[in-house]
Amino acid sequence: MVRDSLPFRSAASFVARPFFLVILAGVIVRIIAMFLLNFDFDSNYWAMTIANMQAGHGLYGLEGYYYTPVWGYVLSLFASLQEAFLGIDVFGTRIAEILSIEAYYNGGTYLFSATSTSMWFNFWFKVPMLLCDLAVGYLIYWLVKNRGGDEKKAVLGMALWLLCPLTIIIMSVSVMFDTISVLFTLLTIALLFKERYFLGGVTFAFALLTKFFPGFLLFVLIAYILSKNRGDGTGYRKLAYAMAGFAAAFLILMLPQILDGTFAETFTFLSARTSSAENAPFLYRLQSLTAVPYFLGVLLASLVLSLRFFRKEHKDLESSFIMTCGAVIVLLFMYPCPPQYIVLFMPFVIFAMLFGDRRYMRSWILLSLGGAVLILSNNASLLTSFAYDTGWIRLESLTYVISLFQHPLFLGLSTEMLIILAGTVLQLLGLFTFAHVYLTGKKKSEAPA
Amino acid sequence: MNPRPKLDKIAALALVACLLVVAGEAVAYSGGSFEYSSSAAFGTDSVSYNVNVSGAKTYSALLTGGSIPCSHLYIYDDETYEKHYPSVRDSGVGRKNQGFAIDQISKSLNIRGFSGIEICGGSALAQRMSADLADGTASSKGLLVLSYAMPVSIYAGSPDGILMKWITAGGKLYWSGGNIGKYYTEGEELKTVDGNQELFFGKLCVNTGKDVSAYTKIDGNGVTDALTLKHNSTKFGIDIGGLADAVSFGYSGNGYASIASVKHGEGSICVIAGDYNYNQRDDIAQIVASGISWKSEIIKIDNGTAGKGSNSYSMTVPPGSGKLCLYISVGGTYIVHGGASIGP
Repeated sequence: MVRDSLPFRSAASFVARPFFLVILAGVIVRIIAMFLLNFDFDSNYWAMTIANMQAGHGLYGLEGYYYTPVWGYVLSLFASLQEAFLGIDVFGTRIAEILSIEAYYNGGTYLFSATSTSMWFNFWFKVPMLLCDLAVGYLIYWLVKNRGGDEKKAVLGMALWLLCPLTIIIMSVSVMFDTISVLFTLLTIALLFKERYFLGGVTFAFALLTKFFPGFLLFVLIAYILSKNRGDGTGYRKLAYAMAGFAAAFLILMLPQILDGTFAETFTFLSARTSSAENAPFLYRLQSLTAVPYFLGVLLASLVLSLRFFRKEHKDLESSFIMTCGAVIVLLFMYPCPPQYIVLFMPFVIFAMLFGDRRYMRSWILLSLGGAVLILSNNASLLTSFAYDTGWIRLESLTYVISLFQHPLFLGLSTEMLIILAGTVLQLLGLFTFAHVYLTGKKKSEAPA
Repeated sequence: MNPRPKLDKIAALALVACLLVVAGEAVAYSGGSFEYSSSAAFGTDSVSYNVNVSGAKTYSALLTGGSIPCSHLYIYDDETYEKHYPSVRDSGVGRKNQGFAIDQISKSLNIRGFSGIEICGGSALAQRMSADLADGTASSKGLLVLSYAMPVSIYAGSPDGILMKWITAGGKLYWSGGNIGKYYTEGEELKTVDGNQELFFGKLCVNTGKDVSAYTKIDGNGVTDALTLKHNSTKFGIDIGGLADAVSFGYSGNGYASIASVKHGEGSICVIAGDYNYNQRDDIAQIVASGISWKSEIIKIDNGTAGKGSNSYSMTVPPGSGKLCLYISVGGTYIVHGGASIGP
């Protein structure tokens, strides 16, 4: 009898396996960070979103939630579980002693909040992201094995996700939910590999309604379905299954907003990214003005890459498909973006490293470091919840350190700004490195037969 | 015998993930998942109250005497807001989406059990306020102004306009529209008033400067914590120093307060400083729904954690405390319920 891909003859041998050890290490490091560090600026919005829901105004009735609904639904589920079983009575506090840090807010670069969510709140509402991180780790493991990788390679792939500084920090410090979008994107890919088109369409809708970026993969996904079924002429039928799944899921997820008239509000995220504040620095205003043309250009490039992919004969269709997805995403994120967006790119970098060219490792390192540096540039403010709830760090010390990072250091730029610039450069270098290797080492990056 | 079908782990994972999200959707929109309410009963020398919560939440109960919430709140919807805004931008008035702000404040008031809201344009508002003056009901009414100017039919910078008479007769003005009374509209024009501060407060006390920071919590009376006030700007806020019958809440900087209530005739003027945002929205809702004003005597503030289910508490009331109001808010910094109960 052939055993499954996760054989464990006894608990002891299972625990000792690298597969388990990687998971354990990933969980431990995340849990420590989940308690210790927190980006209050965003978690304050999650607390507000939950309170608005609890007050009976759904996700969009009262201001506070600016994204498509999936993350809001996850917050809702975890809020109800929390009420039923945990009893976290304090979501957060407006801390008068640190109000001065909000003065550093400048419409885009510095995001400090004196409203600090409590440590237990932070921990509990990071749990869904932790679970998603683990599920993504498993999916990478599965995808590597699916493409012919051995156990060692699959565990390495999982480790490169679970122990990646960027993914650890985004989930456990930055409190951003991009990992949910990654989960549904990888599920879509895996389900298409398994020819489960309807369900693949469903998960794609979930990915799209978590964060919008997987939407840029639409043409590649269509090209893959048609290519995969080119031989037996069932491509369009299978595509119809996927579209039906997508439409059904989209309708189910958006039904409350369609019924209560807040459908337009679910896309506030898009307009907020393209209509920056009047007071924002020049670079941010420039960014907001050029965002729409750039992303339209990426969509066009995605169409071209998809057509190329469709027309070409592939030795390994699935691996080429994954690499094409990676190429679209790297184009997408070359437009300066916050590090949490890069999380969607990481599984593709890992896949490229394991099956393509080892030089993709440089991209993984640069992106990991760049993202981590960008998030940690928030310096002492990340300790606010911990300091306030435990009393182990004086709030005055926090505001003092934060102010030190704001002092001009070089060419009128503050230490924090210099760190942000360094992180941005590292991140961009990581993306350009990927693009360079993709373009120059194309043959090598064709995945194994 | 057929072999047991092999579990498709990927499909199972996808189904579980999707179902969890849909379960969250059902919780968010089904109603009944989250329930919060409160009630109070006044005795001769005590008040007992009850807080019902579907999960543990912090609560606060603010017992005041001498001032109760208005039963009816007009919110002025300035039809000329966008037209004249460019003329006042340089004075520092922040642009707001007035319709959005009115919608958000109305909903926030609803959460706090306040439903007597009427959104009025200029002419309707003038009619309502005139009627209040005619039938002597101004003292039970409130008016929230989010615009920088009022129409000439209500206010023209003199004490004999409807607005000033209405306040003098007991009306509660909640002003969050910049330099109070500095502008009014007449026909197609925006007109400027000199001496607006003296008209409202008898002296110059409005913060028209650039420094609007407020980093010190005003906690002498305990109201800032009891109502979990959050907005910390003093832009066009007032300095109550030297003003008789005035009180401030929220946060202060350079003597100016983020929220201040001042006596004017039989009524009150409450200035809520700063530009509109969700923190200010919540503060306005808390201030209006609790009825707190310069007249309020803080009798007792209770706070703590209400456990899941029904929680009963009581307070003793000293004799001669006047008209009582118990305002309960649930959720702390993130209010999910509020409600005022009026005593005998």
